[in-house]
Amino acid sequence: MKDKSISHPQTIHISGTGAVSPFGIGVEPLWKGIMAGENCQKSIKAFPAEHYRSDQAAEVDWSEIDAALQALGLTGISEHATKLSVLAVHEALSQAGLSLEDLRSERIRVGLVVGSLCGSTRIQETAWLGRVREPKFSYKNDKYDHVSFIETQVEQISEWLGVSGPTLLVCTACASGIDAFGLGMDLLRTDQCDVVVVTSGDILSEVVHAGFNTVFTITKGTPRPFDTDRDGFVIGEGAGALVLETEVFSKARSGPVYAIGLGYGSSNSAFHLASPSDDGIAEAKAVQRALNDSDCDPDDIGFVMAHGTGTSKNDTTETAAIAQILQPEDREFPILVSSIKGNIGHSMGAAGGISLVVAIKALNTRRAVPIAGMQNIDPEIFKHQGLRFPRYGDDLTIQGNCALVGAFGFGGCNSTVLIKAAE
Amino acid sequence: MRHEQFPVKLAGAAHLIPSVQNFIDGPIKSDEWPDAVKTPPIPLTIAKLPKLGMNPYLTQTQEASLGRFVSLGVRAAGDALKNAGLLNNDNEVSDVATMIGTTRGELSAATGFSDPIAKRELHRIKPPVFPLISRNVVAGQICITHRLQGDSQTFSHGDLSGIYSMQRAIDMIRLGRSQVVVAGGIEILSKVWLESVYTQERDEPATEGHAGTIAEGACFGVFCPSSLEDTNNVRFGPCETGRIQSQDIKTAIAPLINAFLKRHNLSWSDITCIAHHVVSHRNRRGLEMSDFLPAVAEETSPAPIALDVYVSTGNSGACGPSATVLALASALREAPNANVPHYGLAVTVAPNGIYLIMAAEK
Repeated sequence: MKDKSISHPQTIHISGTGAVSPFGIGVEPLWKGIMAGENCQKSIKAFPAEHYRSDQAAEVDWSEIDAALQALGLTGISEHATKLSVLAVHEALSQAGLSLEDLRSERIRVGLVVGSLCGSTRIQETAWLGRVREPKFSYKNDKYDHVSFIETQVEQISEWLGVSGPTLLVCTACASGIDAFGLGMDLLRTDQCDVVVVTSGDILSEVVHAGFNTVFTITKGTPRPFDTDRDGFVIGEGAGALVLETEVFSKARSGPVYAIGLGYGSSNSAFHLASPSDDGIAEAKAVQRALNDSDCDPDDIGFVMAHGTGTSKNDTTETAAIAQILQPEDREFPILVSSIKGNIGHSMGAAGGISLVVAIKALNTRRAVPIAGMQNIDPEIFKHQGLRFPRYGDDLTIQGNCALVGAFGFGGCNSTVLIKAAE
Repeated sequence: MRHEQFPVKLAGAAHLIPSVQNFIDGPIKSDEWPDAVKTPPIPLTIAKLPKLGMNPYLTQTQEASLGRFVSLGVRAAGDALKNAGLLNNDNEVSDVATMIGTTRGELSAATGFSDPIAKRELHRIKPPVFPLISRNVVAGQICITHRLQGDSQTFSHGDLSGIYSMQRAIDMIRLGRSQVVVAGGIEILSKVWLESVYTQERDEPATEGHAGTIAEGACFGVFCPSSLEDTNNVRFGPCETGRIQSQDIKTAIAPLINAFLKRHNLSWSDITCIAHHVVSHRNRRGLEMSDFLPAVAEETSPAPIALDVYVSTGNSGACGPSATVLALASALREAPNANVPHYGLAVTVAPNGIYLIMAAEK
């Protein structure tokens, strides 16, 4: 039973995008790096990691981050993931042509949705690990005092933006970025906001690196999404931000439109806390629900920005779910399926947000992202006729106007959104 | 018209709160609260759940490996679904959605996880210990145990998280995303949480009632669409959440509630009951939380019944604010079954300057 007062489905205008990644600050460095096929992984700087399965990760350049924040006069932000989100949001707002004064104005109802899995963990673990390593460790530590918990991100970002509307933090593990976008869409559709700033940020920490090592999802080499010999990912850091507006508000202010948010769907696999299902049926429900939530013609989908972690199970399950719903074998043109984990690693809660930013760039340039690291495609994945997994040098031309962006996370979370190129 | 504003009913609920019994069975006067929570809070009094016995929804092995946080969530969600007559007994999957609010719960697992990392004894870290440091595993295990393949989301924004999970449940039904949503707030005490609270308060005087009772618990509800035939049930509708910009809660909260009521064609004279969770101490941003009720009293005469849920749940993170919704439903259910509709508000004002107002009708 849908509420009759909600004009649903309602398209959402995406008026700005921003990113911070191991390629640097901004969407352009990210796009150029990905299209050049570069891989950002290096030996970990954040903590000693020689004793782990892998000592590699794709870290951001923190001196560059701090310098950029200083240039903006934002030296009071202490939490790492927040720093990344603030820079990404700053870029997205600039692109949208919205100032902080606009956001603080009573004329505009502004909300903020943050997605994150483990932001603030690096600060927390100084206390967690410190209390074990140092017998005289004290919690009376200024660093720990002010950024103890994950919601610090939403507090610091909302105080900087000065928003008075809904401010949320959603944690659906590595699906957080997509769910943040979906929640932002719903805040607009239920008429709670005119504008929603959506961001997702995550950082490398020893606790998380150790955890992924113990479940053997960290590759000993380089990530190879969809490859026969894939054996995992490296952890990445970054943030992806988007500015969403109602169509009415966007048109009234003649704001820029970079893409249209069409629909959002999510599901839970109800199968295992850390593993996708065997058959992809529950994961496919998320894709179907995004279609149900939109007025998108499935035959108009030409690009899928997949989660594509490069783990053995994720890539086969995800591909099966996509094929099950989109039925690519019966279409006029192929659906290009990509992953950016081979470029920037797996940025966990931020992965969905960064994927969205890249997908919007891909739709606007009509060029799919080539898959870094993939050499020999897994036959179990290749069997889905009509899905194409582009490598460097392949034809990257996207046909169709819509893209599907997905992310999956611990706790059985599966989330997808559908976006459309701006006309 | 009014029914369209209140399209969601509470089909069932469950709560597990230390020391407080049956608080959702009806409005209880403050002098009837158990001594453990009636006493003016001594700084950092702790209210811990008693031993609950075997979890009826998990095996002993599962319960031992998943820990108290996840076990409590599975139990509370299962009880709420059972009370709603929607517990899945045949192992078939359903599309029930799961919305959870928590903000401190996973810290107990993180403490145990840190020891082998710090000592570089990585062989001691075994699945499923690692996923347990992600707060959304409660929702994940609820879905696994109760076979729920609907949306599952976890919100973490201080105290507001619990009541927001219920707002999200209502929005999901309004948007047609789901027909049934189990939603609520949950927290578990942990050494890390308590030590961090001590740290935060270290430079401030430990005055009476300062930090309140730090507590744990879970409050869950099952929400689904109401129909016109549900004449004797409590229905939920308009919700609003946002940040309080002013440093003066007395001048900030009353205008927010007034504007909320006006937007939804309600007035103070309609409001029979307010269930509120307002932390009873001055927060770090300088908001004087105890000014909440005087601010409301200035707006209305006679004053509606006020249920101080903070007194009963303590400072229990996301748990207490979600209890305001259950308490409000209970209070309205007790209202005379006359032709005149009764309205109530669940209000949470959290120390980090956020608020949520939710309206209900009987």
